[in-house]
Amino acid sequence: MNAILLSAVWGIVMMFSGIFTTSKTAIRNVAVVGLVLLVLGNYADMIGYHLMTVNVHKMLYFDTFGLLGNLIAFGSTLLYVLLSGRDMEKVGHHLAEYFALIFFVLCGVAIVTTFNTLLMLFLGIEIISIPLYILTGADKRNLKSNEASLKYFLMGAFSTGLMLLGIAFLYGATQTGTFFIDDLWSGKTAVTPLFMAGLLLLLVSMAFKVSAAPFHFWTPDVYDGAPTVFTSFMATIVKVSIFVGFIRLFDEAFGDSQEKWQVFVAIIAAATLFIGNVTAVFQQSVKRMLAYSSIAQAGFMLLALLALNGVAKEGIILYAAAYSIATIGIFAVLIRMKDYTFEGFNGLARQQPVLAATCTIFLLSLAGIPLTGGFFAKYYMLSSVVATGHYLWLVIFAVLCAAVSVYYYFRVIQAMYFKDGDGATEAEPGLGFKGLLVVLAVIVVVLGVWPQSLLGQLSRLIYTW
Amino acid sequence: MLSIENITHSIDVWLYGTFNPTAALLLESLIVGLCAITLFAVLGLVLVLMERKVSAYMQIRLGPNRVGPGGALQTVADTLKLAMKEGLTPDGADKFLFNLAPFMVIVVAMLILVPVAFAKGTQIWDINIGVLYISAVSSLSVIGILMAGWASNNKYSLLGAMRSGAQIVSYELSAGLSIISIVTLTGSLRISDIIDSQQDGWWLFKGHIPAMISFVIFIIAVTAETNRAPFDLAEAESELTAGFHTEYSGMKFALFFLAEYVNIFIVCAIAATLFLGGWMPLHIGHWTAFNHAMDYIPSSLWFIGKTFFLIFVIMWFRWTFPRLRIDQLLSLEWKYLLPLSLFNLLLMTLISIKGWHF
Amino acid sequence: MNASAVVFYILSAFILATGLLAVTSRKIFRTAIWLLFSLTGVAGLYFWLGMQFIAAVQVVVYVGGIVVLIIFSIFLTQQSGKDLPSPLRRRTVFSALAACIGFALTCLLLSRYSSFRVKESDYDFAPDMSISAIGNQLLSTSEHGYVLPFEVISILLLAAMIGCIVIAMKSKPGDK
Repeated sequence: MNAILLSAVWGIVMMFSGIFTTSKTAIRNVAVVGLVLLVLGNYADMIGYHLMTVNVHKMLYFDTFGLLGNLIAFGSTLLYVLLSGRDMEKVGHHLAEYFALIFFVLCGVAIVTTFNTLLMLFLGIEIISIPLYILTGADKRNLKSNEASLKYFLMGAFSTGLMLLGIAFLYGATQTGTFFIDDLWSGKTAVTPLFMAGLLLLLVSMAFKVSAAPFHFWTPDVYDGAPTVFTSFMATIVKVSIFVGFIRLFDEAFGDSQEKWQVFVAIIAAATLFIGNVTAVFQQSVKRMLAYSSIAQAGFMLLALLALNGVAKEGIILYAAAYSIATIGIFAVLIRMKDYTFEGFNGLARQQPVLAATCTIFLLSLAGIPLTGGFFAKYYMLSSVVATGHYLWLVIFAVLCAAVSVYYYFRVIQAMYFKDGDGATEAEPGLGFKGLLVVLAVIVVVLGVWPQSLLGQLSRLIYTW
Repeated sequence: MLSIENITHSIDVWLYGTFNPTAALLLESLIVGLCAITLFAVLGLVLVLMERKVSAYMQIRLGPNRVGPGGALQTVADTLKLAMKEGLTPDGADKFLFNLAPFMVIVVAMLILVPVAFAKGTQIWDINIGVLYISAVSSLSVIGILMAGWASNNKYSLLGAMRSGAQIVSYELSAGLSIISIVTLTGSLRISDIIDSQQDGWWLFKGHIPAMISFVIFIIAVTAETNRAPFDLAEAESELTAGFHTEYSGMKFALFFLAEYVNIFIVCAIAATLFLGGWMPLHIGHWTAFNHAMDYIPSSLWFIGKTFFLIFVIMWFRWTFPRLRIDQLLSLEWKYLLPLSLFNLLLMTLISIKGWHF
Repeated sequence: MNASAVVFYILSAFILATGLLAVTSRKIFRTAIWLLFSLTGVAGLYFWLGMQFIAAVQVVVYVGGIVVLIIFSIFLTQQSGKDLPSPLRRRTVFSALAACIGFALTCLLLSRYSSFRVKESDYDFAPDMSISAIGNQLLSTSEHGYVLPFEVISILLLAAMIGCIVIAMKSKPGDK
């Protein structure tokens, strides 16, 4: 509850900070303070200290899984704002409002990760989506940004409609008329066609929100058209938080009818892996490549949804952390580049050795090379599916796709190190920026070298709480 | 004592005694419908004459004075003229929608009439969502205007309709918030409850300053909603010929004209109900003797008196204030009236929670 | 068949007919108007059920809000008076198919639950549908109160409102 309260209040604080000060640094600092408070508040929730006692009547349920998801989302947002907060000023004049919207998104994130009724899930998803439509169109003079915003809005509204229809079906299927997801468990609700229709509609709409194939068509255009700063936010923090909600929904509500829907998830995962990875190979712009790569990574995260066991839940947390941090890092570098094509990165290693080196680590992590966080994240996803004993073909397919992904990630590394060119940033990045990038890279490596210590902590938390 | 309540009650008893319930209900609906149509016709005749006489009075002239005693039959003659005129449908217009629009406007006006209490116990349907129903249905009237503007296939009509639409949609907010501020005092949306709660004084006086503020805001907002001067941008003749009804003539024009006046009557009736006690006579606290003396005046007279007083005020506006420009009109609503009514609502809520009203 | 059933069938026929006209009309403005009538018919159905509050909300939200919005956007687009191009045959077939599947699903559900009747005893527990009961439930902090979703919705609306203002606000002249 701390996180929801703090993020909502800080959204309003940000809104007013725009009135009281015009200094962009001050506004950014207010946002950083708010994010630090959010991280601390969420941690306080985990150790059992609550700002105020709110009886939520089981509409929200604060378990460790959801709170960990929150922690990763808030922590990554903090890093993201520290890295790229300065670049938000370039998008438009309403810096305070952008931050306010980001805080509202985080409020939605905190609801989506801890919901216990379909009503709250819907509201959380909407609170996440609506500010994102605006942030996508924040660059008002850029036609591509406008188009992306409109496209995102229309597609998003459509998928929200599907979600509502699904929720209505499930509400009817419970017979007693309730939104609580515990009541969808098979003892209380029979698996009727109505129930299955509701389940599938929810699956489709959630798959849409995490841009899984074949509901991914909006993703490349929206990620490409949106201002790069906000693409970074959407592709990482928002995506993994919705994944946490996705897994929560299917685990808590539909966990015991798993064999009925597993095959759909398997098909979606396979399609997502295939389309994401293969299409990314043909891209000329790094930004668009990253958009497809985010689809591909969503395919891996879907494996956790397929398996839904302890390994999967641990793994998705690790995956969320590794993927978010690496992607935020790459986007932070990308924002500073003059040219977003692969050629733009030519010879970056000579000009900016620190940027190139950290970027390499992030890309290696995304590709899943050992000694980085991405390797163990992918390993956990695959082993969770192996643990179910079925769908071995999907595991093999996923490994093949990961091999394909190495090609396009290495293309950037190759451009930076082995090609001549004047790959240059718009302005000389500051020392703080470089330092933060190094910190991110160290986190990625630590996640890859000593995941045991972290995962030990995690599994202790998940199983004992 | 002979009152409208007794008459309607005895008709009701007789009908249900003579026919079976379904037939009685149908007959009652028929009678009510006929009454409503008659009321419309009478209102149209009276209000148009009143408008002309008030205008004349404001300009120190006589106004219509040839037809009938003191010009009283002037509007009858006008109606005859309009009825005999040819109803043109312009070429290139969407004929179906063009002909549908005036009826739409009139039907909506009739629907709003449903919960209005004309006298003690005289109400078509005392629906439990009373004022919410009124604000819901009145939001429909904009559709008829937009339809008329679009179907005419005329630039001026379209512009007039768009202005009118923007205006009505905006001012609905303030009107709604003023209604809500009275609802916080009464705790009910039902019209009869609202009137009963004013037994010991009208809300305008009992509700302190916030009630007066919301009364003023309500009057401004409904003046704008009915497209009356100084907010008659939608039909500003110097800019837009005649706005959305430029292309209409004959009876179809007469229907628009009628709907406009009926709408004025309805909004004034609602204002009278909410703030001035509807048919409730002027009662002051516990002055029993005074209250009894007031009760001797029939409730229907009270209602009609209050309503026509407010109509007079709105006609008075027309000759007092200059017309606003469209952007001034919209910024008046969004930048001044809306924040003011929100704040006023907050104040009113505080008053009703603390019980500071009388 | 009593009078109530007659009213029901008249209302349903009205909703279906205007709905069908809304989909088949070739003039976009007329489509909006037919949609308006269809939605008003649904409001009438709510009145018929005695759910007056829901009926009023239906009118306020759909008719007063959404259809007006649709009409305004039609006004702002060019050539709103022209006939729409006729849809591709392939698309027509698919949409007809989708409609049929939806219809089949509804029929399936109806046949499955046709034995499902509200028992007389259920009426005792039927929720109070008066507007004050709805209001109390919405803001109640007790077991089945909805104050938490209510507050969350207010955050949602605030976010949407800030978003609208960010989109609509003019940049100061002289900037960028």
